[in-house]
Amino acid sequence: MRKLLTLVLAVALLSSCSNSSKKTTEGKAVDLTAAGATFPLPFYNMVFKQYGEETGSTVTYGGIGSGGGIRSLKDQVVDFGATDGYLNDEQLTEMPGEVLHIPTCMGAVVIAFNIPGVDSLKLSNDLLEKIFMGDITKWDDIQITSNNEGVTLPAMDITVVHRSDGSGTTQIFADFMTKISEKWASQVGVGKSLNWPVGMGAKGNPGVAGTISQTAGSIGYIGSEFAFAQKISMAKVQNSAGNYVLPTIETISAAAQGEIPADTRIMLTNSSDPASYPISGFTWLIFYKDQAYNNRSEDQAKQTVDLLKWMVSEKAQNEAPKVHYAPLPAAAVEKAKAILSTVTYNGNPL
Amino acid sequence: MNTTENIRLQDTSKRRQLKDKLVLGMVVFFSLVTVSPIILIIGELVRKGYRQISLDFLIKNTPDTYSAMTAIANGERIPGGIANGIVGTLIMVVLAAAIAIPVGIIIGIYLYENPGKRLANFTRSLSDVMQGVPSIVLGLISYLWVVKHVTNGYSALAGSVSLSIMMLPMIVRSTEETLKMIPNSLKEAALALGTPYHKVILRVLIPTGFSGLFTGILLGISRVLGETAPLMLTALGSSMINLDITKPTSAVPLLIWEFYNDPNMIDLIWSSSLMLMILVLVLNMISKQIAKKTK
Repeated sequence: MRKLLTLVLAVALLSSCSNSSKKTTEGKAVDLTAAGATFPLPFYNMVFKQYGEETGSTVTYGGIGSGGGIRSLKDQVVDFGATDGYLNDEQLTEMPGEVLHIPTCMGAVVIAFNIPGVDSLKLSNDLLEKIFMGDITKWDDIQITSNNEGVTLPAMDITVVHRSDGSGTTQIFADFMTKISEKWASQVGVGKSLNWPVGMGAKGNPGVAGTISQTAGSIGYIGSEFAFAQKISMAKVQNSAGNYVLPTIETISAAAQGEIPADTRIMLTNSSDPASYPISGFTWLIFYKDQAYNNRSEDQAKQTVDLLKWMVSEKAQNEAPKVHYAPLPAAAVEKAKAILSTVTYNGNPL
Repeated sequence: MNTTENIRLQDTSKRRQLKDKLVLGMVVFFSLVTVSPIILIIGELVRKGYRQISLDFLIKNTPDTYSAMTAIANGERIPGGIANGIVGTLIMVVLAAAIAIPVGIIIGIYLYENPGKRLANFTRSLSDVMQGVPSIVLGLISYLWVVKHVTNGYSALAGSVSLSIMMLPMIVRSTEETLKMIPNSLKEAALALGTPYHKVILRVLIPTGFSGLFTGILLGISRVLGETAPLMLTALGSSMINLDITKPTSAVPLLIWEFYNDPNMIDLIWSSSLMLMILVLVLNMISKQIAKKTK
């Protein structure tokens, strides 16, 4: 019992020590906390670590999902949040302060397939609709074979694999499908989880990738960062210029070459750029325009903005392709920098 | 007549022996079926995770995704380890235990001393209800209480609070059950000698029931060790070792979730799970041993 009491005392002492040490370090290196989307988690963890090594401050990022990131920013328990889907106008008015978005990198949704003996597949918008709506059920259907001359497709049933959990990946995919198919738009629509006409569900990118690799004749959609790392067979998808494009770092970046609004809130699917892969999108960091909230010091506000600026700098952007994320094109970087220059602390520019 | 009776007797005894063996076989078979999942799980974890286990795995922080990727491409072991998670788990569990143990034992003693009182009955049924509360709900509560209002951000303290609420009912109930098993004469003897009440509790009841209390505590700890959901809402995670309980902190189950989401770190899922499993198993075995010794 006495030992137990000493243990309790020791822990209490330890915690009070660490409390007091925190106060003395304030003003020099500031520790930042962020939370949100899991899609850019590997990229963020890597660049935040590099930023920490350069500046001596620790940046902690928790991959708790886009919804969690928005919630945390709303509750003002983080310095900034991260999300795969931008906040719509209604969400923006619900926030306690004005919230800004900057894109940090790009990703895509790839169409992965597992057809024995086939390593290249071209899918027109029409075929995508018919396969994912369940209107075509065989791989050797004349509509698929006529679009893929020179490829021998087996007489095998098509198994559609989709996400069972709510996901930003599903949302981007559904957004693209809604743009290319009226039937999809009226019967399925857009959302983080959908009422699927056909197919089987699997959890997360690893779940979908695993199911596809184990099921001959299957097709599904996976986040590009995952598909590139795991070297999964991907289909060429038809973009709005009519070209069949394979997802690569370059073709994904090309999707952001067109007009981007000043607040960067845009879905990039079905981009008009002829070289673009059509199922691409931004991922954003979100933060308050006025950084003076919840007793945050000016140092902490400065550090936050410095980090955000660093995220769109050449150095951080050059890291993105190494871990299979597409960097921002120059136009998007300019927009992000312009947004960051409007950030204030108590009304004064930082 | 004698011989026919003998034969009949022999016959029934043979039949009985056969039945006996049949039942024994069934018992053994079903016991094996019951334990096989745990053996299969451990076997799978060892098979997939042993390659990553080394000293580095225990003393280094989580690697970034690029170094993991290059290591996989070169066919090497993924560098780094889960030290940030191990340290974070230890801090949070120790802190949670420091909150839950004193409170839990005091409530347990109260329940034992006043079995019939309305407040005691109410407390008892409440703590039984609390045992069934999903851990994610406790995470939400701790998010509202601690993250939003005490630490103004994600913190190890918030994680500990959610874990301690989870441990509390287990400690309360095990304390009460243990004390019930102590012969009443022991307490009466101490009181007859004129020992003050608080000394009876501290010097007689708790030391006599120590092993039972300890078992309850260890089982409580091993239950919260693997909790992920409440920590995602409270402790958040960190890629560095963090000793400040007001800052976000990592934990082994949180790291497993992060590895799951990173296509380059998949190999680390198995070794981290193996570590967590071993930790929980060892704690469970220790508590079983202590319980056995004192019975």
